[in-house]
Amino acid sequence: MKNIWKYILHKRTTTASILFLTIIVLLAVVIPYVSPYSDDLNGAVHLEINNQAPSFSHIFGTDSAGRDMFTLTIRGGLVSLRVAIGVVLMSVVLGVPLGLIAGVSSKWVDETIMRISDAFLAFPPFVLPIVIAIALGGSLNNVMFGIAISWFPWYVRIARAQAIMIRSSDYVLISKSMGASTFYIVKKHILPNSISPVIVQASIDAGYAILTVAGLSFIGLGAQPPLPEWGLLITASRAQFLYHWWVVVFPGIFILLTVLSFNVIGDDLRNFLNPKIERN
Amino acid sequence: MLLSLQNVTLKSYNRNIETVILDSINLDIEPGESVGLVGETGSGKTMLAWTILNQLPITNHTLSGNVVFNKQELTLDTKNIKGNQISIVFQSPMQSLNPIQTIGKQFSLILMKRFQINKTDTLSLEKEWMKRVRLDDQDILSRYPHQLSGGQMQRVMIAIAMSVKPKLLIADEVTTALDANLRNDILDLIDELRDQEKTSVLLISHDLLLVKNRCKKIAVMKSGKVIECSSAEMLFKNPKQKYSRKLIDALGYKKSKDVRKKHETDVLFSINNLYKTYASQGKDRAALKNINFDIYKNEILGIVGESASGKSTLAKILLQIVPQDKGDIMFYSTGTTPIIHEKPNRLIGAVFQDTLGSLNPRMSIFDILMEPLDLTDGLGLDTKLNKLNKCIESVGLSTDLLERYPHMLSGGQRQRVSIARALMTDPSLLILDEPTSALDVQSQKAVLKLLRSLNKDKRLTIVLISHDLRIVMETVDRLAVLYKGEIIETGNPNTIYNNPQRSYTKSLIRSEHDNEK
Repeated sequence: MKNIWKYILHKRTTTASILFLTIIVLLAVVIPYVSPYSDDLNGAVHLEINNQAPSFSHIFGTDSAGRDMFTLTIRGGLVSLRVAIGVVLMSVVLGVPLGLIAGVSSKWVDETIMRISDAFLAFPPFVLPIVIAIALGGSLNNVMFGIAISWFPWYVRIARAQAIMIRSSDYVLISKSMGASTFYIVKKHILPNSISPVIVQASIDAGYAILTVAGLSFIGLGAQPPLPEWGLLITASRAQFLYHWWVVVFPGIFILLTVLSFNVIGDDLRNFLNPKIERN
Repeated sequence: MLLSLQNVTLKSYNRNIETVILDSINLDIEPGESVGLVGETGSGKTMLAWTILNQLPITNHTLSGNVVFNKQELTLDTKNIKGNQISIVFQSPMQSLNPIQTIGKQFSLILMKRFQINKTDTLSLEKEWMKRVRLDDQDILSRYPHQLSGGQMQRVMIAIAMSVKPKLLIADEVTTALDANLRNDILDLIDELRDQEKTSVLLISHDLLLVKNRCKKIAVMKSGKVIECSSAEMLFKNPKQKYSRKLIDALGYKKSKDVRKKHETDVLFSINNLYKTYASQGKDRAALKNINFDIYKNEILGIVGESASGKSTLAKILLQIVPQDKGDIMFYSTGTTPIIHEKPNRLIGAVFQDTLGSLNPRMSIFDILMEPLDLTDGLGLDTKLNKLNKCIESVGLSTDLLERYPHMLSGGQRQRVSIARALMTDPSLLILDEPTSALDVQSQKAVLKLLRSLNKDKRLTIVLISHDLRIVMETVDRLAVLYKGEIIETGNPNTIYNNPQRSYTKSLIRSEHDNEK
């Protein structure tokens, strides 16, 4: 663990990404208490100051309801990060155990698990979350669940591929020859050695999760007003975009930087976990 | 002078840490000369080959000194030399050939590029070369790489490399992946083509014996330096460096311990009518056919055979991690009433060839050695630690290694860890599948010595499986020859060596003789 921090801090891009995400979370947590416009988070309307360009009092400008865009954008980070971590965690928790079971089980069990998870992959990427969100009600949690359901088969595949590769490695064969049970082999040998591609995939997916939820919020599912969420902020203001650029640009920049941060961290994590890339 | 390396130094940088890969190398190769380059794994042999080709696989590096080829200094711009005047053949032909193109197609692309001729003209050239490497009896050109054997592929690689009429051929461990029988054929072929084409050859190998018979001049490499470079005769008669001396001494194996132990009579394992068939590409392939033999208590039994002869399958069945199709194994663990050996048993320890692959890369050496005991119920921590200390001591490892991870150890150390792990459960039988193939000559010696002492001191029964007749002859009390899934000969190693009954055994021993000449 000490090594990983040392390694991460060595890379400036990674340090910057981690710093950025930390600052977003910290600001989002404290903004309701320090912002003079914290009412806006609960749906206050100030039509007298709507659509104002960025100025000293409203540095990101205001939207069509006169809400302070800075307060909304910063608070939106909390929702987006919750989405990123929630979706990925659900997919991993669902997918990895299934994949490991498929990888070490008999052909029959393996086929059953894989064909069922393939069925989930057969849907176009947006359709399944939409259907699930509509069936369960379009709340943010349901959308997150919907996305996780359509993404977990990827983790099943990754975990299964690793399990199949590792189960025929010499150290597993030797462990078997000493009488180790399948559960012991999975716990001691297969899981620790298959976790790195999962972590890498997870960090990349975290970025996509934000984009997907932003997209679903854009068509009216997912985050519901007045909950500030970056995708929702952009949707709400899309009609004004041509005349008032700031209402779209600032949440957009934050989506971009957050997704970028997750990707940079994921990329670096992959390098760290690859024993062939030397590190000191 | 065809090629002259003058003071070539190669340094690589990884996060500002400098590693010297090649250290002031000076080496000359005359036209038509064959020069041997010998050194253990990691000594920089292959990096030297890459440097000559100016095709280093690393990014952060500095290269100083001169590489002069045919009176012309090699720089990044001299691309027309690489592949036209210098050719290279590697250890693993499967990775050098494109798996989705036929041999003929790959061959013709190279010829077209080299001689600026069109496709129809290449065919006659290709056929001529196939004849010269003696592959003309089958239609190799229309096949894909995976449809060829290792030896055939290596011949194809040599044909391709020589067809561009190079002035220098670099052969990097070309025979390491091949069986003893094929090894000499391939080297004879290179010699023959060298004579015909007046090409110089740089023969890179870890095997001093192999280089000795083929090269007039031999350079010995150690940790990036050429520590000695002299004629083969001089080197063997009067090596100037201690390290060369050690390498040569390690080769001198005692063919026959004439006083072998008295023949053991107590049977430990009895293997009866064993059959195993694998399904591959829709066809059943017999891996083992009617295997019958006994393993006696306290003996070292050697099983020798070429790759794909069923050696590893036999090892896995003895361990019962792969089930047999037919036949049974009787285990005389106590007294005279045998038990049927049908599931993994802690009384049998296993050591495999791949020293890195046999150890979980995420576990420390301590955890790896503790694993067998974790799998045994009801042991106190004190007992476990006691056991651990005894085992690492008996294989000659030091306790500071315990906190390290497998990749921080050398191949020889890793193999000792594997052996120590196998000893943790006090086994009555130790099965070693190619335990020394991945090791350099000196570590091989040490591991074999360890096995003999374990056999003597702990009265441990050992089954040593290998393709290398040399190491088996040196170590075992009894020898079994496995050929195409059948045991074709068993008996005293000296008897078999001096009077082989079957033609395969004869050819195996003959190629061993050839190496020694």
